[in-house]
Amino acid sequence: MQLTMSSWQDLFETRRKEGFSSLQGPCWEAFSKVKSQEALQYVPLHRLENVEAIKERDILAEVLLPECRNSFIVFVDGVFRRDLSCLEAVEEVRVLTLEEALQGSYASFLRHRHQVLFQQETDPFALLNGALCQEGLFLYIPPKVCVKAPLQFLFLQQESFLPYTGPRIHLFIGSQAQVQLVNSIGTHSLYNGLIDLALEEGAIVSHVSHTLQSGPGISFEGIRASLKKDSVLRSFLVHLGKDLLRQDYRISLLGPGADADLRGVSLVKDKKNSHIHVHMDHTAPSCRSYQLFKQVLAGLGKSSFTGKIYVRRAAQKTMAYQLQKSLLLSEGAMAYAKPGLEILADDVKASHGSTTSQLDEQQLHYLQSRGIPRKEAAFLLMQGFYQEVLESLPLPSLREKAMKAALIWKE
Amino acid sequence: MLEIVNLVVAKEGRVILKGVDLRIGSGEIHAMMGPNGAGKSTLAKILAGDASYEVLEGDILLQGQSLMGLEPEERAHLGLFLGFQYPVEIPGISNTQFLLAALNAKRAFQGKDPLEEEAFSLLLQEKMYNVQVKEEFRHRNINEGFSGGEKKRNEILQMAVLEPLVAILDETDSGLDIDAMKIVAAGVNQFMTADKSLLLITHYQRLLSYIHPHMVHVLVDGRIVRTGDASLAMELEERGYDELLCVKDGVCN
Repeated sequence: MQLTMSSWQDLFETRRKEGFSSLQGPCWEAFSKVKSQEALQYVPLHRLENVEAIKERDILAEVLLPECRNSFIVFVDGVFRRDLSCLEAVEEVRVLTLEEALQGSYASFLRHRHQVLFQQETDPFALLNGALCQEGLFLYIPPKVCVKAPLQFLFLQQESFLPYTGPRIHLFIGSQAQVQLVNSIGTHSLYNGLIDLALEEGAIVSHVSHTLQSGPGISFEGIRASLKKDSVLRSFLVHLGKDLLRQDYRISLLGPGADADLRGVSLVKDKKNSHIHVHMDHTAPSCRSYQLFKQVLAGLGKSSFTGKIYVRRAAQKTMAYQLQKSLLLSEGAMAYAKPGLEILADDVKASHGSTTSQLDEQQLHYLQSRGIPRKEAAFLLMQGFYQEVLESLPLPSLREKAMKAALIWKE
Repeated sequence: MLEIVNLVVAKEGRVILKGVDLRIGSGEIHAMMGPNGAGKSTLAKILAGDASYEVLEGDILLQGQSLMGLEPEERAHLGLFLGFQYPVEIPGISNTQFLLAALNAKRAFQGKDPLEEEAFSLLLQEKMYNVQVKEEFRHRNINEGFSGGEKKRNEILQMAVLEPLVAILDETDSGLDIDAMKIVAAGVNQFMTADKSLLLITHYQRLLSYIHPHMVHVLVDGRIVRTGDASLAMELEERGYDELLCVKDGVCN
């Protein structure tokens, strides 16, 4: 597999001239060496060669969540726009561009973080993000600060054609601090973002990544998180039909009592694709991880779930759970799943599983026998399938939005 | 109200009902009894439009209209209700969501405006009170994690909300303790008015002490072999099917 494309090569040369970060070179080098990858085997990478110009526009006022009226950060065409952002409700949070942060007092933390991430990184698109990073952000949430308003990141594209947009955000969440984050991914030709979360002891982070519209475009996103003692990460994915979406998680549970909870729902039809990859690494004892991903496929929709839970020798008393479910609504839909476990400790509770099913005829009949037409009954069952995940979404407005957006499936 | 004419039904090539005739008038309660494997549940399922059975002969008429070839939802719209012997569990859909969808589908068929959630909530509250189910039934997913008795009570609640013309209750009494059975029977008795009809399918006479049938039919090997008044059920209870019907090996003892 040859991932390197000439347009990216050009982009890298431009970035190198700008001389932004010392890490870009090594990232590019590692990226260009990537050979075929199991985690990408179901992703139609050929679509990246001919990304399309975007006709649709997301309008800021429409995509802003009401809960985040005074706490949002806007990226336009991959560039942070302080003038369009509003941080009124989250004044405790220090927001710096990566460039600023690499020169200031957070420089040593950030450099170290870059190194650690780079050394561990196996995902080519996360490496590509590092190599082509143009401008990123660093957010510092001081210890013991509970950020009240949820903070929304809005990634928008105004240029009708940008072959590549790759924002990068690093967050430091101090000990006992709490924050709620929403990544709203707008219409992009190709979006390749990376969010890195460093949770200090006892920090609590709730995070949602969602695609704004069921419009065109490609979205790749990497979520990187390291969790120290007793910290908690809750992360949701809501994918309502980008042309191609891939979500790549790499979570490291570093301190005892850390807790990571990942959930996601994808609804894909036509020729759309939804691909999820999870790398859950238990290195410390007594940590808990939970994964629940549900993918609904219609038309010629395609999905994959590849994931592995690693339980290191020291990670005794681990509790790890992974479940992926696909619901196929058409003959042409395809779902691939490869859940996995690698356990080196001997006192562990772990389970993993995957199911692929169609609508249950008995359930359909039951609903029909109460007067609900078959089509509506099928929609209700589908709703019942994904609702479990949507119901646990932390933001009511987003929950409502997602439920509403899913209604187009009724037709 | 409900008329079954010479119904012959097969599943996977095996003939299960071999010519059933039955006529239930308005305001009437009929009980269908019979040993295991007689075809009682098949009769119930075929009435509701279960597509896995094949009707070889005969007709089913509801208020004079044939149900043949109609989808299950169309039968429901015309006023038919089947209380399932084994109600399925449907995770992810709440009872409220389900019942509102069902009621509004029926209202749409009748040319009425859909009921708003608020108005429905009040209606549901009243029905839940009438059939004595707990408030939590509203929010629980359809039959998910319900005990056998709760599932049956949920069927009765659905019947109360949908107000069908003809209800068929397939072994609604099985798996119920005596208190639950009394509650179910009370619900059924409330449902019965002069314009409704009820077919109770049951193994045992016990339920019939609480719901008094006008007629009792005995189904054996796909045919109704005896029809009588409520005393037939008592007789069956005392003597058992074999003795009463002399059908063992087809030879009368």
